[in-house]
Amino acid sequence: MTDNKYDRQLRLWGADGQKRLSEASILLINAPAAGTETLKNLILPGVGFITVLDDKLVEERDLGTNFFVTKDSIGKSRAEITMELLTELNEDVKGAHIHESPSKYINEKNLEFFKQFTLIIACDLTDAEIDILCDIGDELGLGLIFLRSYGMIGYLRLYKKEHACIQSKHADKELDDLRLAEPFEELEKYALEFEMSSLGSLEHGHTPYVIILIKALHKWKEAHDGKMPSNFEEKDAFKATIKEMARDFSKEANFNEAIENAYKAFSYESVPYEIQQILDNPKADSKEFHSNFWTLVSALKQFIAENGCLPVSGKVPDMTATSDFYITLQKIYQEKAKEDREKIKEIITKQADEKGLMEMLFEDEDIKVFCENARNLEVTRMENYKQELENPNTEDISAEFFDPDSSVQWYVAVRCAEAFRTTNSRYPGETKEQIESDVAEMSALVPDLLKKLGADESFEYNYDHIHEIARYSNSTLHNIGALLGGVGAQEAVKLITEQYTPLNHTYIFDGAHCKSQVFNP
Amino acid sequence: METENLDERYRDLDNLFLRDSKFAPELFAPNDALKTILFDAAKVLVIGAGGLGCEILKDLALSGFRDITVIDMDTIDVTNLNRQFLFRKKDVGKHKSEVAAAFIEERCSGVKVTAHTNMIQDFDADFYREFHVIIAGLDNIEARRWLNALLHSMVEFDDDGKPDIATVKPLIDGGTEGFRGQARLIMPHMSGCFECTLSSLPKQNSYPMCTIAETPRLPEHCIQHAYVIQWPEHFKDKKVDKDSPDDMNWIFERAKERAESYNIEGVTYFLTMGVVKNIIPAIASTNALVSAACVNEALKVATFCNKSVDNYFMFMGQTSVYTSTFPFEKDENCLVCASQRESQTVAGSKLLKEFRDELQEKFTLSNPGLTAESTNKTLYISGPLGKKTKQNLELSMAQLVESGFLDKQDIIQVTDKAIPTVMKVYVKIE
Repeated sequence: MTDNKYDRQLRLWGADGQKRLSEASILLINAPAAGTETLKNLILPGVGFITVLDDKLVEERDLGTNFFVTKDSIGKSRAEITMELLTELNEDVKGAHIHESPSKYINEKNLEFFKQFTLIIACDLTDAEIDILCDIGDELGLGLIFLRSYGMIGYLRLYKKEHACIQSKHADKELDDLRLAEPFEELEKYALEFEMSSLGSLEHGHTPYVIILIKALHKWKEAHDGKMPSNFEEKDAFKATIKEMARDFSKEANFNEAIENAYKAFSYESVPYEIQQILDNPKADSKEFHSNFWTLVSALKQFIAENGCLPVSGKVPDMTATSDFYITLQKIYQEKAKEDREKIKEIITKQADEKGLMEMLFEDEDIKVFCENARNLEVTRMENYKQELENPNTEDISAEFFDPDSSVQWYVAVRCAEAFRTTNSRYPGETKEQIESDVAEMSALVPDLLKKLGADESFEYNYDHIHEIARYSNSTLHNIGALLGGVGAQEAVKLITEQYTPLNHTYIFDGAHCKSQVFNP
Repeated sequence: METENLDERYRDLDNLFLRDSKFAPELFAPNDALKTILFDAAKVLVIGAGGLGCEILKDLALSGFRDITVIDMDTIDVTNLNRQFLFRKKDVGKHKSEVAAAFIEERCSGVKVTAHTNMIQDFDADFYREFHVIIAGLDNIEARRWLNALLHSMVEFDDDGKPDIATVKPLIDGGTEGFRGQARLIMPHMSGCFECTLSSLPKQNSYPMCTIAETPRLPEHCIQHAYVIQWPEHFKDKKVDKDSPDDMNWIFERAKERAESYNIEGVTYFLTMGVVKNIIPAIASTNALVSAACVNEALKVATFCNKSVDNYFMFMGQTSVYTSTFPFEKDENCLVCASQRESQTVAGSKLLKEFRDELQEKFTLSNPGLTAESTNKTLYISGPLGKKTKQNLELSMAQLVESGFLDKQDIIQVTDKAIPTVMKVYVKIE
């Protein structure tokens, strides 16, 4: 029996992800349901420290939407009560509260205060406040998550100027790195010297597809001026040669696997485009220290210059093979991976010397994880909030206006509601009598906004969305807060653990139809 | 009881209930009575008090539902605590439903939560009929199938064959795995149902037996060997108790030995637990968002304040966020919800055994019993009662027709413990 309460999440982000989580310090600005729910979902998995900054007092109305207040706490500090009831969830987590106006800290740009945190989660801020916090985030390299809700509509905005991630763990990418198209020396030697004709039928049908493919490609290249199969006909012809190598193709699973996996050789790039982009970043050549990530990338760049390829990952997927064949093959990859890691390590030390830096403290495990994921490194850059409002990136969002079912209709409505809030210092439709004129005021903003977002002229905005957002006004529904709390905590975990790919950068949940979408204007 | 200031407490619901909307269903009219319906009349049943259940109970209580019932037979384990936030270390070993109910009642004054520690199969249709909406936060397929089929069997039809809406119990079903999850609304006999989508579920990760026995390559293969081959050889009549540290340690040690003899690295206790218990990663955030989507649907179904989801919401959070909402259509041949299925042509030479094996495979049944509707004769039933029917398995379908068991064109009634009702298969023997 395991007695580790974190067992079910360690299977996702591992011990190093958990360590980062346990060292993170989170600030929550304003504590309505969306905020306390996000914190709840970070406290349960064991985030290190939380701070709640809020100047409101608990009201009866909080009892109807927020789980982390009690009836006898009415009239008391909301920051204090929510912090106490939240930290009670997990004894590993410590907390503090500040019963003061968040606007003060934000408007003063109090860097000393904000720099103690890893991540800031902020609820119901105005456009102007978000803008300032983004500047603070830029200065301190902080991740920010902004949450807002309008009745059935939930809005989440993520901001981190640049987020680097080593273990992207892409849902649809494979980690293996078999070098079929360009086998390294030891691998090629092993494959080409592997004698198949004398094997018994069990061994023949259990010869790893890696060996079959390397042999077949070698033969093909010899007959084709050293070129790989490139077009459809050639690829088909190549697959036919594999079929010929089999003794009984219908029964030998390994030969079938060889054909299924031939694409890995055809589509191979020694340095994938996305990785080249990261290597081309000036930070990869910089003489200054930026972060551990860029120190590693800088070493990687040097490694590629010297070796012409990325370090071998050492991961071999399961395949039809005898135990012996598989283990021998696995060892060849692992030995090479180890050799490459050693080279990277030497480069790091050398570069640190050249830059006059103290030698960076990388554990062997850090370098291993980096090398294993060298094909999957990711750097996400997010649009600044001010940029989004003034001069949005229309590349992706403009296409949304051709889709009548797109939630972009809500994105427009949210932007109008916030512009209204900025002008009037209140939510649209706070009383029933205001609805008509508030809808008119927001509707008047739509045409200019559409133009800014690159909407096609043929697009007809459905103004029912504006009416609906005025209907909801400042209503906070627990479910929408809880949903934002779930999505927000997933994103927070991604930013803190530096694993998985964060969303970039706006998420809208439409609770009226149970639909949601990500936008990046 | 002291009076509660419910109007002020649930003020945030006012804009939904008292204001007109272009996005609400036609049935909706802004009305003060909606709050009263929600507070005083709506009865909701929650199935499961685990990762989803805890969230669902909280979300319901904070959406104005005040009469909640929860069923869960499980007790609290320490590995629940990273997400099942109504439980603390001191609660380990107690019943989930009871601890969860007590916590909600304590925190949300005026909300009544009734807890049951039975299996869902212990309750009959009359019990389920009491509720206006049922929300399931289950972690297994068997319970979902059973519940889905039961709720379908409760629907009555009018003379035109249309379901009587008063007998249709909305079933909201949530599920999660890692960063992924889904929430769906099943309106029995009106929308696609759980059984319709059974074949689209991902298959469980399994390893071929010959690999485990003869050519192990991964640590998982060695663990499976210790679990499915060595254990039954060593302990003839004892099943593995997956919660026993002794049993798990025995498997771990054997797996380690086997791995060493093949030079395979990576057998750990952590991995052994994962493989033997088929552990699915679970995190608080995914449970939270799926439950919130489920309860938001419950609020809409109960008050019509906005349209219901049509009918399946899928969330994938691993790489950025990708979500999709789409109507899962009815399967015309669904065993549970199809009204009239096409007859399937069966070769007369086919043995009843083969026919039954195919059904078992196709509809994931455990041990189906078969009866011919026209003759009301049992074709096959397992156990001591069915001793006599065993010989029928070796007869061909044509022979069964000749000996008067079956008509050439008939309906075969299928019973199986996976499904609480009788399923019908239309056959035409050729």
